[in-house]
This record gives sequence, C-alpha cells and structure tokens, in this order.
Amino acid sequence: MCGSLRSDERAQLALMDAMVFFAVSMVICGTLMSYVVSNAGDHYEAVGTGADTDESLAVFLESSLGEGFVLDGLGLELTGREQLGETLLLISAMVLQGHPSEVFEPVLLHIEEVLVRVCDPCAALLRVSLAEGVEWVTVMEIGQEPAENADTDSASQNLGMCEGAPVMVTLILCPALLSHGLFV
Amino acid sequence: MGGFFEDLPVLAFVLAGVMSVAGTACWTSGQLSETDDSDALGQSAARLVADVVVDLRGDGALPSVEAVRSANLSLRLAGLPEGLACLISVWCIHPDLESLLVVGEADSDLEVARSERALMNASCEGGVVGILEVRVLVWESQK
Repeated sequence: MCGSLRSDERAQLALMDAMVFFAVSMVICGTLMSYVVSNAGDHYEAVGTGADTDESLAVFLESSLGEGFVLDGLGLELTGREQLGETLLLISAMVLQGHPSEVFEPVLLHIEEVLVRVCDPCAALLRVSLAEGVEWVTVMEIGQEPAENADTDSASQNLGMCEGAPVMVTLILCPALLSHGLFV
Repeated sequence: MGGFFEDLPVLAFVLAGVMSVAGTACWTSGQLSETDDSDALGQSAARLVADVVVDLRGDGALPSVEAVRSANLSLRLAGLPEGLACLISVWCIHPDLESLLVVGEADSDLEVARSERALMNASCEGGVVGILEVRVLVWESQK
C-alpha cells in the first residue's frame, strides 16, 4: 500500500499496456489501408471514359452514315455519304412533321451500331432535343438509358434549325457497369 | 523462468503490433509507388496518342485511310522517354471494322501499363467519312 506493486499486478499492467499498443497499431494499419483504398478509388475515377466525350460526339457527327437506305413509305433514299449529324437533323424534322419514328427504324438501328463502336466500352445515349421557348423537348433517343443517379459524362452540340427552332444533340456516356445499375 | 513465461503474452502483443504496422507500411509504400508509376505512364500515353493523331492528320485536311495505313510512326517510338515501351495501333471502326496500322516493340512481363485512345475522322472509299480509333499502350520496358 505504500506505492510498491506486487509481481502479478505489474504483469497485468504490462499486459494491459501491450494490448493498448496493439490496438493503436491496428488503428494505424486501418488508417493506412483506407488511405490507399481511397487513392485507388480516385485513380479509377481519373481513368474515366477513355476518349473525351466532346471529341467522341464531334467525330461521330462528322462521319458519314456509311450505308445506303431506301425508306419506301417516304420516297426517301439515303446514299450512305450523308453526315450522321445531317441525317439526325433530317429524321428529327420528319418526325416533327408527323411521320412515325418506326419508319426510320433501320436507319436508327444502324446509327446506334455506329454509336456503340464509337463509345465502347461505355454505354451511350444520344438525345436529340428541340427548343420550345426556354425548354428543350426530346424528339428522339438512341442508345441505352443510364441508371438513375449513375455517374455520367455528357456533351452537346447544335445540329441546326428545324421549323425555326434550334435542334441540339446530347451524348451521355456512362461506364458500362453503371448503366445496368451496378455499383450505384 | 516463470517471469519469462509470464511476459510471453506481452511480447506477443508488442511483436504483433510492430509487425502489423511495419507490414502495412511496406504495402502502402508499394501501392503508392505503383500509383505514381501508373500516373506517369498515363501522362506519357496521353501525350503519345495526341502526337500520333497530329501526325496522322498531317496538314489539317481530312486524311485518307490509305495515307494512315502507310504512315510512318517510327519517330514517335524513338521519341519515347528512356525505359518506356509502347504499342500503337490504328483501327477503322466505321464504316468497316479493320486494323490499319500496328507499330510497337515486343517486350515481356508487363507489370504496370496504361492505355489511351483517341478518335478521328478519315476519308474512305466512295467519299464516305469514316471513324478511326488510335489506341496506345505504354509500359515500363524490361530491357
């Protein structure tokens, strides 16, 4: 009772100190590992979607349709040399004039194939919109809609005028797994 | 002798703590070093793919697929920083899917590599404007 400790009490205190030391070292290990894991996550995000979305959209719209189509119901023939941007504007104008979009299905399926090749490995959605006052109204969509709250990247470009209103095309890219709702 | 055995649990806890911290520190430094290497490779790949696209575009006009097929990219390979190797491939992805050009070095045992891609237009047969994809893979050379 005068300050000296018995042998077993000293041993217990030493064991307690060692356990505290072990617990602190575990905390340090956990902190280091979480730091590395968070860095790896940033690195994954930095990898992004490969080619730049603006560049992908510009190259896509500049390229030709590449395949000829004859749309019997409309008396319309596409030679395959038309730019994809021009073709999308033409189809949008005809849809707005009241032609059913099913008539253009072979052309739209071909455009979707080209879109998939350009945007691989990401899932892509191409949205053509028409300005109505201050709002943009969707005329048509080609491709795969990304999952809600998925991390996406997008770029827009003006296609031209249709019935006196500007038409805009927007490319929305999403990593393929996120488009199916995984990891969200 | 009894004191030694009494201290064994203490020794075990201390040793386990020290070894855990040391092991995690080694692993962390290895991972961070690998990330730094990967970032440097990524920058080299991004620069290389941009340079290759500039080379293929030439004077700014739309290049033809034939001109791309016969392009000489050996200068780009020679201009890589010391200790790096690369593989450059150019593909036509629209209207037809075909390989146009592959340039690179054969190397072995890739550990860390980074890739980049870029898209560009080119004129194909029949007045069609096609889409080319330039792919670049850069890694640390083992030579």
